[in-house]
Amino acid sequence: MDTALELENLAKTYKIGWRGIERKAVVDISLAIPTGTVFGLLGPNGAGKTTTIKMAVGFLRPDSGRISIFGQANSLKIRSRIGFLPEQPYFYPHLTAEKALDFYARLFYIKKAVRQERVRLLLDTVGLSDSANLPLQKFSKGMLQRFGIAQALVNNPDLLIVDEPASGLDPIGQVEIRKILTALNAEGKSILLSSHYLSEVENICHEVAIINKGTVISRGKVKNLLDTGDTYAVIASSLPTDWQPIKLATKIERVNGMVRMVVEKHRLDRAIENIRSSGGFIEGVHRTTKTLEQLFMEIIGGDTRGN
Amino acid sequence: MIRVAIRAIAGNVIREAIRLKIVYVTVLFALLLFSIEPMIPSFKVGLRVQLFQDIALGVAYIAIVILAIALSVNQVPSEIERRTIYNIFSKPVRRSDFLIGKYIGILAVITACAFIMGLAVFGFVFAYFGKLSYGIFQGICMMIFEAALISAFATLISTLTSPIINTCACLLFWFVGHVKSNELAVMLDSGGAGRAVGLVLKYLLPSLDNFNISEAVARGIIVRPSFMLEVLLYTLAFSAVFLAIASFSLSRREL
Repeated sequence: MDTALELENLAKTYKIGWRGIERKAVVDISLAIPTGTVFGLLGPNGAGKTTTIKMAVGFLRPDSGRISIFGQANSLKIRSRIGFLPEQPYFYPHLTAEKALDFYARLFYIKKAVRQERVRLLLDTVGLSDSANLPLQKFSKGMLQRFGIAQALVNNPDLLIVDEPASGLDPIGQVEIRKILTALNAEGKSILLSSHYLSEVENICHEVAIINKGTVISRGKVKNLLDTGDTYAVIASSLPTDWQPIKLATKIERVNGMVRMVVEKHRLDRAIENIRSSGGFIEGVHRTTKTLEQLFMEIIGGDTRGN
Repeated sequence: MIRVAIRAIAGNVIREAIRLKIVYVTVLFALLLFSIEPMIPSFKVGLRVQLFQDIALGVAYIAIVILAIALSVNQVPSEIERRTIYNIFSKPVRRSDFLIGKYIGILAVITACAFIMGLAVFGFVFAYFGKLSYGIFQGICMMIFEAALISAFATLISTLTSPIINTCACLLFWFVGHVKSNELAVMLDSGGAGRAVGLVLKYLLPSLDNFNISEAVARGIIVRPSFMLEVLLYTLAFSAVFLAIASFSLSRREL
């Protein structure tokens, strides 16, 4: 599969203050984002997510490493294939949504007739058609975020890079952004998404990389990362109070008269037999998975400080 | 032909200037003209015209220089501070195009305001003294050239430092540019450090005295078009150098 964005051994150190005190923001980050996928970049505050994204877009020069977008180095030509939504985006507040989008479209040298049609379509896509003639200073945070996505899509990009798109939004706003990103991916767009919202990443990303202290700690397909191996959960009801579970069940939970028993694959038959022979009823059996939050906490652990 | 991105950025500067009501400076200027005329002592008509033009052009000059500095010092820092620059440089926009767009936008605003002021002075001179003083427009053109140079310098400094330091640098630039030609001879004669400073100023900074034709305008003397052309080329050359350095500085800057 072709890669939309490839980062190889990126490193970046900031020099702070007049004394030039060094702070390593990115130590060694390598990622490959296949075309057509949604790739999540996860990490605690100060992990190096935004610095990585800024290097990918071209705002920062890496100290070392290589960045390749659709197989080419970042250039004006390649930037016409990228859409970017920065973290907490700011726009010219006096412009209306329509005029601001038209302004951004002009920066891509899009012809007037095409621009007008594109602006109308994008405002419709992000649900801002009714606010087209409203100055951006009158927009709520959620509306601004949706406008931000519209401006990132003004060139119909193949690769969309979004930094914390749901930051500061209420649950409804988060769901709206998630829907938009999912729809864009369904159109074939590759998306690099940096986020703190683990459920957002879990729901829409195909692959993730967890970074901390400027290095990639874990990466892979979400499905594989969350797969706990060959363990199954057996959910049973109507078990007698003196019921004794089989030995070596990994985990047993009792909630509202139901029992959830986690067992390894080779013990599954014995577990079912055990419940049935005790007069219990099997409500369901399914393969267990972790949540991304569990995985994140396992990997990052208590060490959530950045550099 | 000017690139679309440059035009878009310039257009945005103009819109922002209108929104900030900077053009009201010209209205204030016109109101000020009303108050000047009665204060002029009752000399002979010729002398009164001369004095009125001198004062009016002086006020216009101050307004244009202030306008140039005020418009230029904050263009780049405000874009970086408000982070609106991310939405521009993530698109296929050269950093030099961004600066040129900003510069053209500023010049458009200054030119429009300056011409309105020029028209106001011309109209007053005609209405009060019955004289068609076309030289006023030559004086206004020279002011625009000088403002263009100050604006280019301010644009350069804006890529390096804050608006407050930039304002101080611009005032120093203006001051040095004007005292230079008078003081330079003295410095060059003094030898040693004075001579070195004089030579640096002479070759590095433009002489803003070249732009001052207000005395000739007040006396009703029409300046040679070839001189105007020379000053225009002088302005373009220095502005191009300032903007080239500014582009280099911004291209090196990490955002």
